[in-house]
Amino acid sequence: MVDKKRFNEQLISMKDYVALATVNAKKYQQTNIDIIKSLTDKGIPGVYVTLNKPFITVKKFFEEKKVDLRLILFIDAVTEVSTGEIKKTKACLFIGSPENLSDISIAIDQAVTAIPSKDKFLFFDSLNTLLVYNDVRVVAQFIHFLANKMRTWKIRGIIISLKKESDRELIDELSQICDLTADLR
Amino acid sequence: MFGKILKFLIALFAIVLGLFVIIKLVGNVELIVGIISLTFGILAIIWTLKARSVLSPGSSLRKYTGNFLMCLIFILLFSIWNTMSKILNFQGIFLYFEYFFIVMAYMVFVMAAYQILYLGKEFGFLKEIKVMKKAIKEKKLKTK
Repeated sequence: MVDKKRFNEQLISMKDYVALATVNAKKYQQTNIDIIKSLTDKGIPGVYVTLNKPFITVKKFFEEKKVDLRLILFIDAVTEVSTGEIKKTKACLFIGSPENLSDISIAIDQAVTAIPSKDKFLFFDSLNTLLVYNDVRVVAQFIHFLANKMRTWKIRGIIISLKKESDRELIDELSQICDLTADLR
Repeated sequence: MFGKILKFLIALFAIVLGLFVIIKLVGNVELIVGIISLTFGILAIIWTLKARSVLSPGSSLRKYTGNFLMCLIFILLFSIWNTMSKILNFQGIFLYFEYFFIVMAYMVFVMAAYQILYLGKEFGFLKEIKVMKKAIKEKKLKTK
C-alpha cells in the first residue's frame, strides 16, 4: 500500500509518466481533488476526462477546494446530451456516452495537443466506468492506446480506478504498462 | 535508411515498367488510366470500410467516414461509367449517368466538408486555450 502523500509527491516530482491509482470508493473524490490541486497549484495545466461524475458535480467539488479551473480542459463522457451529438460549452466538451471511445480519443488528442505548455497532465477518471459500458478487451486496448499516446506526448498521465475485486485482472494487466502504480486505500 | 530508399526505387521502377508494358500491349492510354484509377478507388474503399468497422457506433468520426465512403463510391461509379463509355462508345442518355455520378460525388463532398467544419468547432479548444495561457502566465508570475 502506498501512502497518498508520497504518491502525490511522486506525481509532482516526476515529469513524463503513466500512473495508475486504485482508490477506495469512500476516498475516491478526495483523492482526485488532491491530485488535481497539487498539479494545478504548481501551475501545470491539463485535461480532465470524467466518465464517472457529471462535469457540474466535478466542477462544484473543485470550486469548493479552490482548484484553478482555468488550467483544466474538461471532457465529460457521462452527461447525456439531449441531441445525441457532441456538445461544447465554454467550460467543457460533452461527448454524450462512455461507449463512444472514438470521440473520447479525438477529444483527448485535440485537448492535450492544444495546451500551450510542455509540462501538462491528462487525468482519466475512471477505468471502472469504461468497463460498465464496454467489453474488457476493448477497455484494455483503449488504455494501452491511451498509455502509448501519453508517452508520445511526454505528459503526466494519471488513470484512476476504483478498487473492485472484479476488475483485478485488468488492473494487474494494465499495471505492467504503467510507470507508477499505487493502491490508495 | 539506404535500404528503404533502394526498396522504394525498385518498387517505383517496377510500377513504371508495368505501366509501360500495359500501355504497349493495350495501346489505349485513356482506357489504361481508367482501369488504374479504378484499382486505386477500390483500394481506397476497402481501407475506408476497414476503418469504419472499428470506429465506435454513433461517433462523429464514423459519421464522417460514412460520408467520405459515399464520395468514394460515387467517384468510383463515375470512373467505371467513364471507362465503360470509352470501351462501349456510349451515346445519348447514357452519357448523363456520368454527369449524375460526378455531381452526386461533389454534393456528398460538400456534406463531408460541412461535417469537418462542425467537428472543428466541436473539438477545437482555441478559445479555452486563450484563458489558459493567461492563467499559466499569472501562476508563473506568482511563483517568481
